[in-house]
Amino acid sequence: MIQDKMLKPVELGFQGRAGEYFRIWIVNILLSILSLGIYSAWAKVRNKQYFYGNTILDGSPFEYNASPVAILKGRLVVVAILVMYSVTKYFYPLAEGIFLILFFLVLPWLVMRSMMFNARYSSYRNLNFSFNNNLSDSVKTFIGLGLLIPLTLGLIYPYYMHAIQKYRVNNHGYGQYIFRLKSVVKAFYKYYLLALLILFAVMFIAGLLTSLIFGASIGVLLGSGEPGTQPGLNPGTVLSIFMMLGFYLIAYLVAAAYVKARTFNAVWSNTSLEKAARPMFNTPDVPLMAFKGSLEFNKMFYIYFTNTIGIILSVGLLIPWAKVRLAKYRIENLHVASLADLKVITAQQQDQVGTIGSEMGDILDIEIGM
Amino acid sequence: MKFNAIYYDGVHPVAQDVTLLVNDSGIVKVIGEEVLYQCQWKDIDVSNQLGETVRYLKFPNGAKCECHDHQQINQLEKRYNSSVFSLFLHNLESKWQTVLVASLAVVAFTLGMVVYGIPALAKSVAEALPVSVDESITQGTLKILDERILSASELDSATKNRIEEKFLDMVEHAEDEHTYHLLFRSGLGANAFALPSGHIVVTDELIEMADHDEEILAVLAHEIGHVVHEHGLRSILQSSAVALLLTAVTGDISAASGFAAAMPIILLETNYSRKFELEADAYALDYMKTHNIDTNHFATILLKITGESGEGEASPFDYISTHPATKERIQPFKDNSLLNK
Repeated sequence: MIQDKMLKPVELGFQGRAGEYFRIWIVNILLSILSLGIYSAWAKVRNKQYFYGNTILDGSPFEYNASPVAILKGRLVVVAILVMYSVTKYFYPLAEGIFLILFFLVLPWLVMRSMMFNARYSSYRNLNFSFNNNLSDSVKTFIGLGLLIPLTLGLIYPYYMHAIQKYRVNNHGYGQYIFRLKSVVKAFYKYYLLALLILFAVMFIAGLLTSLIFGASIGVLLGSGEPGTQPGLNPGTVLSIFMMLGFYLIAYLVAAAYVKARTFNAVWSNTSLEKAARPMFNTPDVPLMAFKGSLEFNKMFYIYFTNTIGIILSVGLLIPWAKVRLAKYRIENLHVASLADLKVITAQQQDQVGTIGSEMGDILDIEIGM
Repeated sequence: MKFNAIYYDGVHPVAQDVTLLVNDSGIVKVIGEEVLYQCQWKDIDVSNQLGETVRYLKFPNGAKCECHDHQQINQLEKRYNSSVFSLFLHNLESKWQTVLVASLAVVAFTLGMVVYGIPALAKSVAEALPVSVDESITQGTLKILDERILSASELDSATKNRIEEKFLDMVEHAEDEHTYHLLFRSGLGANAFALPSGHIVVTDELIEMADHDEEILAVLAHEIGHVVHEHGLRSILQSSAVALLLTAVTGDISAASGFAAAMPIILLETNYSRKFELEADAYALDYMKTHNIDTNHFATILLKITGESGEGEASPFDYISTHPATKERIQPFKDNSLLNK
């Protein structure tokens, strides 16, 4: 897409610095503690503002302008629901199942509201982004395809992940322009299959190495898993458990880095910003903006790995550093090209969006973004 | 006062270089090729200062200016807007003294909560909760264990009756509101465990392993200790509180670093569990002493269960185990043994 002659590259960069972000992060935590969690809504806004404000496209930063008070209200409702859930769960074990089914049923709505809220309060050059209020699409994706995963023994999983990206990209808009993702189902199958192979390969090598080194102690390990007794732990067993954990971590990070880097590239390189109304005739369709992702799997793995080690060794104090360098790497590997004049874009009328969906997504960590 | 900014009309995403002119009565003029807009400074919604990021001046008509001149903006804010909250936050974040204090306070708070706060809180909550909570947890757990792991006991009824009689004798004097039941099961090797409501499960293998009934009683006393001190409920409460605390403190942890967060939780939970074991041991020691049972029986059965000689050195890996080192555990029982007196 990006090779189109009429499109000119636009500079995109990230200017955040770990030291600066650390200070904001630690003050956020302190004030959240002192205010018994109330400040966390302001903390969330400040966090997001820092990352948006340091992402600079063509000389202009992005802006996050949600109201902390609205977020606080949403959080209070969600916390009340979660407390209710965990209390009833202990008294009526049956309630847990009912809650989970209910949760699965409202998930499409939650995801949609969360996307709507985030887009509505994200802006670039004083123009907000938007997300379609399109519930049937969300239901089809999360419930329709979601139910097919166990029925197809997971074979549909890459297709499902692809559908989520499609739902996410195609419903976003900027002014009267919309984002459009061309189907890349085949690529998704390839990446998820390879990731699975990588996972198996690393685990196989790990198992082989561990059993070669600690052959004898594995037997001990398998023989003593019962609770309440002293498991027959000797240093060899413990060391082999640690080794397995280490290998598991590496296998996980390798597979995650591979899938994230490849799907990021595939999705962005096939996304464009186009006019909402497609032309009637088959005229060559020049998009307003085109994108390209260039994340490299080995660099991504290196960042994931060193981030994890850094966070463990610093008991969490390096989290800001880890977040900043990951954001920097991702943004620096997203390339944008556009027609010179953005004047053609015009702001559209937008309504307020409630926060309950987005805060539920936030607290339960519904991660579907990039 | 005069400074440069970039103007966005809010209709088209086009950046326009402008000059902001503020006169003494607080009227702001946005000047491009002509005067684009004009209003009072106090009617402008000014974004908070955040690191080096740009400031936004949001005008009542929806247009915005983007500006880097923090000093001038802060001066104008102080003069025309009495709101000091935005400046206060930035002051906290930009001074290294406050950042150092904040770091120390957060670390101290987290450690304090984990070491003292959460266990104390869990204890008082567990004591305040009615016994019916214990019972509903127990019923669920026992059902799952019976369905998946445990099977019926194959002991003859004479043995069962003999031990149960002694057990009922023991719990008659336990001073708490739990109702105790002894359950015989098999599976899980030589083992015994307590469920929160006072159901104590003992396996056939453990009973067959014991040479004296006193050894079984020692184990049962330890398990009663778990029930008396509400360890079941407390450990559930503690682990949820730890997870909640760490999420609250570290904020949104991405998938990649989620693994890093799991490590301290594992370390903490095994640490809590070791403390509970020692508390239950202390209960057993006390019980055996007051009822004139030789405390050495506890040491004997524990060594049999773990299959150790009791001579092993403390291992550097003890800190990830759910139970304290056997040698350390049996020492008080050996010291108090009648054999030594």
